[in-house]
Amino acid sequence: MNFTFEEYNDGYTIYAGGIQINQRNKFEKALLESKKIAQKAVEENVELIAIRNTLLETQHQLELQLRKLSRKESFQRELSKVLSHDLQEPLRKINLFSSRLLENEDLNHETDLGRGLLKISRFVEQVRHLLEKLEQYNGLEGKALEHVPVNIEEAVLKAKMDCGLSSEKVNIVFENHLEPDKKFLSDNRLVLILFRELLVHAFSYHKNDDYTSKIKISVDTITENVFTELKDAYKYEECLRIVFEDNSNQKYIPSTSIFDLFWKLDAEDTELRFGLAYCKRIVQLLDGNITTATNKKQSLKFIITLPFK
Amino acid sequence: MNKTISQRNNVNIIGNGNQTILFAHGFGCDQNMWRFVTPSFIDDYRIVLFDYVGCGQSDINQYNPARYSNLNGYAQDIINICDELDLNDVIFVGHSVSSMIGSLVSIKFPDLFSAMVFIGPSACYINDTQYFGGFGKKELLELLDVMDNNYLGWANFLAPIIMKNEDKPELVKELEESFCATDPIITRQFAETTFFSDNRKDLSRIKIPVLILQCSDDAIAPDAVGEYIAQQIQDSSYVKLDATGHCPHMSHPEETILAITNFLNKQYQTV
Repeated sequence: MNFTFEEYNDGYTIYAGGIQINQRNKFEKALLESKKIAQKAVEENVELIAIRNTLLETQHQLELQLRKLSRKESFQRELSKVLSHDLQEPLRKINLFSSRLLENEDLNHETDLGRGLLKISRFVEQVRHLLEKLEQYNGLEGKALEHVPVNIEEAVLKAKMDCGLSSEKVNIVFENHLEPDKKFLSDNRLVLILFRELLVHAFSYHKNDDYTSKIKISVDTITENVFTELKDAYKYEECLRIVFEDNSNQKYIPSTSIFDLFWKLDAEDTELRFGLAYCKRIVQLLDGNITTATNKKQSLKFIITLPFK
Repeated sequence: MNKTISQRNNVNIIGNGNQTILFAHGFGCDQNMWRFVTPSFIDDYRIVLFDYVGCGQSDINQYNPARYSNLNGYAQDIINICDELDLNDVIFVGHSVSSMIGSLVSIKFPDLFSAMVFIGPSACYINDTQYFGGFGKKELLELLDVMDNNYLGWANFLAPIIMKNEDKPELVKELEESFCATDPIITRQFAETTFFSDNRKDLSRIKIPVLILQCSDDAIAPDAVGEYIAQQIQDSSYVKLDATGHCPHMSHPEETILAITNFLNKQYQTV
């Protein structure tokens, strides 16, 4: 019951209105329900407007990214042409003419000019080799990936064979901790090149021919956040982890610069090395990540994580 | 200004030793719960205490539901702290769910920890055909429902079950207050992440020495769970404590300290 009291000078009036209690509960319940539905609709509408705005912004960002990609692609094509032809051609000619000069009867390898020409030929060969590697490195970008089941152990053995490394030269211990039904899908060619480069790198610093490189490669799984570039975005997925452990007691200091182009072991190192930059580029193309670490044994570890597909 | 990891996770460093012990609190708790055990290690070790993001005095603004929907998100907190403090050769002491969080860190970075101590660990809380975790799935879903509908009632109900030791009502009250002091949405998500995780397969991948402290009459992690974990970890030591409940470091600190000290003496050959 609801009551209203109205007072006059000479008296008062009481108004009373009532409703059966079960009816009242029913009406109140219906009112609350309607309020809840209306509130939910308002919230959903706000959410939808926010989502729409986000989508529009994303679309705009996507357009900018596509323009950037298009610019990069055209630059890439030009660079490939320069590397594969424009820079190679003058080098080829320098080599040709210095060879001709050397063939001249008056010149031999003992004269200053002869020695100078020989040096020029050697440098030209080095630069040509460098350009070829740069072309391969640059060419990785446009490579179409072919995802097939990859057997890591087979890839390691094949890489070892490709590098012409005998068991006397390199001792590889392989540990597979993957569950038997776990399939790793990736680009077989790139995985093979990756191991080839890692093996070459591990082997390349040994001046002593009698030395045996000790490599341990283990494979297992690890859960990682798949978003590495997006800030505050998280989605955890199981990834393949390859630990390539080089126990050759080399004087490494792990750092990210190890993956830079032309990284040098020390000041005395005169070679322009591509290997690890090449490895990093391959891993990036396979949507993975490569880092380094050392342990108490002072061995260098390359830790590679790759998505299962 | 960007906050450092130490500020984010309210890191506190005490002690005088060279080797570091990292104490990681459990679900619904904070670093303060270690106060009964840390004084015993302060002379010989450097002690690192912290709160997971969303717990204790951490920076709650850094909480990201997607990140902390998985124990790996919490593991990342520990990795970030070790990275910022440049820690290695760490002794990890984890209570309850932190045991599995520590395991994930150890699997990811095998050289970061040299030994681990698990207090009341569980690799999986849900019963399986060949495994007794202590809870049915339905039971845990109901518990989450209660958290959604009556958070204070939930805290009031769960704190005495976890703590046991009715003779120490102040500890039950402390745990209940700790539950109530944290953000209900964050605590609810932490509960879901904790109780629905299954880390059984991870145990055999732990390669460092681990001490498992199993409490008597623990409603959260029953004996069978502790025994299972000990069996699965290659280099494990199992100690069944007389301490009851799920928080022996609070209810029975002396026994907990003794078990940890014996283990560390054995591992590091110190007297």
